[in-house]
Amino acid sequence: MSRSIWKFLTSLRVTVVLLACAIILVFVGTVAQADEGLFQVQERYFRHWYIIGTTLWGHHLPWFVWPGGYTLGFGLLINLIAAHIKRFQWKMSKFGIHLTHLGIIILLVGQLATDMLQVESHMTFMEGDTGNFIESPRHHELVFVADAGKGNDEVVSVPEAMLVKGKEISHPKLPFKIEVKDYSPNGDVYSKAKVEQAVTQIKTALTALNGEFSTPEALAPLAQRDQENPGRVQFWRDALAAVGEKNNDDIVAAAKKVAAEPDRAAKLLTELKTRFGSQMRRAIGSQGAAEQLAANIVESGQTVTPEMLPPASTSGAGASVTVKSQPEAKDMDTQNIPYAVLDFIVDGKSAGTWLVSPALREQDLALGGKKLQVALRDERTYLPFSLKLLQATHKDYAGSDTPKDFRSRMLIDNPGTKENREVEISMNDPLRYGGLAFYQYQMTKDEMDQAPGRSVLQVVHNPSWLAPYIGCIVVALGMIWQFLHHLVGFITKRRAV
Amino acid sequence: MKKWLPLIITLIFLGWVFSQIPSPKDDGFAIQEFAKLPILKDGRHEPVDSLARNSLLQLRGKQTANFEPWKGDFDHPQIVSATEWLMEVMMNPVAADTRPVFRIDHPDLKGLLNLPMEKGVETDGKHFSWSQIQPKSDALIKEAQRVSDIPSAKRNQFDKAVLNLWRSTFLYQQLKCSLQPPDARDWPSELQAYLENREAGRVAAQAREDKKPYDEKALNQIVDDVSRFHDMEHYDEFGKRIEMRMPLFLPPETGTADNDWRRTGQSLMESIKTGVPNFAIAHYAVMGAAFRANDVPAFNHALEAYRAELAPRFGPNLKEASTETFFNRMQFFYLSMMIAVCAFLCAIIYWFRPVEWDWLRRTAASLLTLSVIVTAVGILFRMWLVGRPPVTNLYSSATFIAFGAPVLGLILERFWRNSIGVVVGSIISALCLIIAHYLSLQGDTLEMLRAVLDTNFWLATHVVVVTLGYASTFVAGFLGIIFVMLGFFTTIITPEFKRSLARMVYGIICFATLFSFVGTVLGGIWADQSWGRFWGWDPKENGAIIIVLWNALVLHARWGGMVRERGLLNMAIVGNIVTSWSWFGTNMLGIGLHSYGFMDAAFYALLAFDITMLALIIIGCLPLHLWRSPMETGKSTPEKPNPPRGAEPQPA
Repeated sequence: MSRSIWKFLTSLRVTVVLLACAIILVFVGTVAQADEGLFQVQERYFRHWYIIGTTLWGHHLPWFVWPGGYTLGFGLLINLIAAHIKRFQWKMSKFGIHLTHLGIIILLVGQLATDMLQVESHMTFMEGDTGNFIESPRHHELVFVADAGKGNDEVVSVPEAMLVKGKEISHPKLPFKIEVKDYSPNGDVYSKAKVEQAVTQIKTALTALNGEFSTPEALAPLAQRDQENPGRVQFWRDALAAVGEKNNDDIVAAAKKVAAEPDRAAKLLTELKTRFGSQMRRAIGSQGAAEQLAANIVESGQTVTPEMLPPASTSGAGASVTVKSQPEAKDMDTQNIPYAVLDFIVDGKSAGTWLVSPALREQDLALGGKKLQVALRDERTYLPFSLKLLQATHKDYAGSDTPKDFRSRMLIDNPGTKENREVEISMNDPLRYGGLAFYQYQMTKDEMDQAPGRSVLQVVHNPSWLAPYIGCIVVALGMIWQFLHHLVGFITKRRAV
Repeated sequence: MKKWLPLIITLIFLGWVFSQIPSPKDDGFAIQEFAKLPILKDGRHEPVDSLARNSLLQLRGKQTANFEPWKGDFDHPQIVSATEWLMEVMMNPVAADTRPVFRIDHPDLKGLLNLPMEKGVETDGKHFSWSQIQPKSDALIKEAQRVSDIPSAKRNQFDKAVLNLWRSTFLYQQLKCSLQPPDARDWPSELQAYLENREAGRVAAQAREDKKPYDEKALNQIVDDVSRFHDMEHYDEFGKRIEMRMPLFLPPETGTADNDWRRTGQSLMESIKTGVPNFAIAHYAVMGAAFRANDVPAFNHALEAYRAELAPRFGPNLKEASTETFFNRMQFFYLSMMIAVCAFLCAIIYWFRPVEWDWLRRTAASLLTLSVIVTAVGILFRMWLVGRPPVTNLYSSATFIAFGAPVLGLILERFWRNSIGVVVGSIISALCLIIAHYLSLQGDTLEMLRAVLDTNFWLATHVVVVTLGYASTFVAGFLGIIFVMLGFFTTIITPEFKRSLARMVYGIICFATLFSFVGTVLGGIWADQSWGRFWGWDPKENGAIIIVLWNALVLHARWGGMVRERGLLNMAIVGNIVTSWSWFGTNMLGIGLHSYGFMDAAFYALLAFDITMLALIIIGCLPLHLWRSPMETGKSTPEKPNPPRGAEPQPA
């Protein structure tokens, strides 16, 4: 029994099957990126044990079941190590092959280690800024900051994972207990002003619409204008059908026909206004919670009242804003903005509730005889040294919009080692310092226009970063060895002939 | 005689290559000299010649302009060089507007623009002039606006044709205002008048602002001038949105910094404040006036004067521009493609009489060698011009495969001497050069590199090695194709032949595994250096790893005895599908760091290629009694798979 298992583990057939599965996995995982996005594909296909269901070229295939990256990676690793143990011989002619496979083992293990250990974060600077912490955009923390004198801060940090509705949190450094009244990993924070602004926006748009569809004479030109736009043509057809105009393939001709009959023309104008109006409300309403509320308000003909905007909390900034939970975004490009409503309990009595969210600034607290600031922000890790952005350079090629160069001149200040020196970080030329690697992030045109003089560094902590370098060298040595061995054999043979 | 034939034929081709070197003489306007003037386009110093050629490629897919396309090739239509056409566009736009240089094929688009569908009087039904398009240009713009809102993957053929033509007409308008306002009638005196009136106009404008009496004539004139200059700049402003920036024709007033080059409109706008437009504007104005007046000596004299003024400060630029003009004119890749096709034909014909016609095989081999040398010269020239390693974009990867594959083929030929290496090498080389030609239609092939790619070390190692991996996998795949085609349809393949083919393929796959693996890992290390991750599952990375996995799979299947010779050769054909997908298919997903843009035409070509390969594989798997070539050696004992040893090539 164990013998047949051993035979199976070391079998070349298994290698070939695993390789074939891996090819299909990588192929499917590449094509699926067009529909699912790079980030989700990584999580669901390559950093996973199995895959159920996929989307290829826009077609959803729920029956697709396949081993994931971890399964195949581990499978190949076991197969490789077992085959090595079984077939290992100290022979010059095999040495290259052993080296090659050893290198591949290093690569596979290194990649698995990277997957588990690598932490990505970033630092954002304006020119002249000094930073001594890195921020993780995907994780958040609840912090209480107290002034500890001498320009130092005392920080109590609560990870986002501890913010569970109904849970109580306490800390010896805090003069109160915290009760989590509400928490959502993603939500919209909005004020009365924002809703009113959206109401005005919708009303203005509706007025413009009513102006357009005011007279029967306007029908034909408007149909003419809209006939190029498939979405709008559909509204016309529906509206025309509603006034009993069945022959509406050519909306311009149909509109002309209806416009000639005053009764039906008036009816058509109302139909069109209703349809385009509700479509406009839907479009604006889908932009966010504030816009959604504004759209509902306009539709029901009400005005903004305090009841519609329940304050998120009794004290602090939350007293004047409302929050609404939103579904958590899973793709890479949209950022989640979490929020929490906290009740601070001093000596067994509630001191009121506060709303915290990265969308709000730090809020001042004066509770239990202590002055603090509270905030829910991107998770920070403090460094034993600081970096200062002296100069950010972003260049395009002359007379074009192709980016030519991104670089940041930084000053490292490390009190521990008494280092105080300038370094330059550019694309393809990262700074490796203090166990971290700092990479220049290439900003898009929009990002640069919005904030000139800003520089973003991507910071990666990856203890296994050397593994691919070593693995690559070992494999290359093995292959070259094998190649030379054959070449020597070939030449000797030719000589002999 | 037969001994010398290969040499003689090769020398004839060599003579043909050399005959391209001397530059054609100008009897009238010094067009060749004008072509060598330096300009700055998309951050790159290039000659006017390159701008002219690339513009015509965009407009009509050719590097020359045919002013009488309705005439047959033998009726001597008036064909002019790209620069001559561009000179007319920039200096005499009224005449240029009547030249049929816009190629339009889609019938609906012709219908939209009310253009003749068929060949007729003074039209070939395919090429049209701006004067013909202009009456309906509103309809074109309206359609183009509609199309630009559609995601590129959802556009149909008509949509694409509309957008293409609109971009071409926009480019044409940009060119028309590159040197002078397009509506200028007598630009030198208009320029003079503007400069003389400038101060008076400014005073008048200020006076009106202050509600004081002002010189109305001076004000009107300056308002007029400013709006003309502004119109010229508008084409660059708008071009920013669609990544079509105008060329910078005017060298810096002082110094040589790239950022001090100017567009004509830009310099004129600046001159409203400073009063001094760039020195080159006056030179170009004189040239333009002489060109319009058909005054050859005056034009050539003005050109000479401009070049003389450039010489002390812009010596290197002038030299660089004239080198690039030479490179453009030589069209090395076109020459080497023609020679490769001839080599291919010789090698194929040889197979009909393999014994008597050995000279033909030798001719094929030496022609392919010549073709490789010409390709190599082209690649080296290109490297020298851009100051970069051989592969910097998709275009250059195609030319590099066109170099690598025939080299491998020639090595095979040296050992086996049966013209298979030549056939495979020449066909891949010719195909890749054709692909390169189509890629060159997409824009400047010597383009500058984005910041993230701007590193010669990684371009020289990762990209070159990966491309060699592509080339060798293709060579193995085409060997497989030859096996299936010859084996199934002819009686040429003998068991012996099959064995040697399998050996070649085995050796090359070992080679391909090495290259694709090392290249892929180097790419990972580059990624680690640039953005902090070794592997990110980006489509291009995935494409590369699939090639490595596939090659590894083939080798292990062979070692494990799961496939024999025929299986190996069939698997090599699968390698073609894998490699073509990795090379091109991954660029068509439209996502990822490596994507070069959506190429729709290439998508169908790729699909056709892959279907052909599948068909060949199916044929390759058909039972042996259907094959015309005798595959089995009678009652032969089943062969034992012979592990790694098979890699050793055997002398013929």
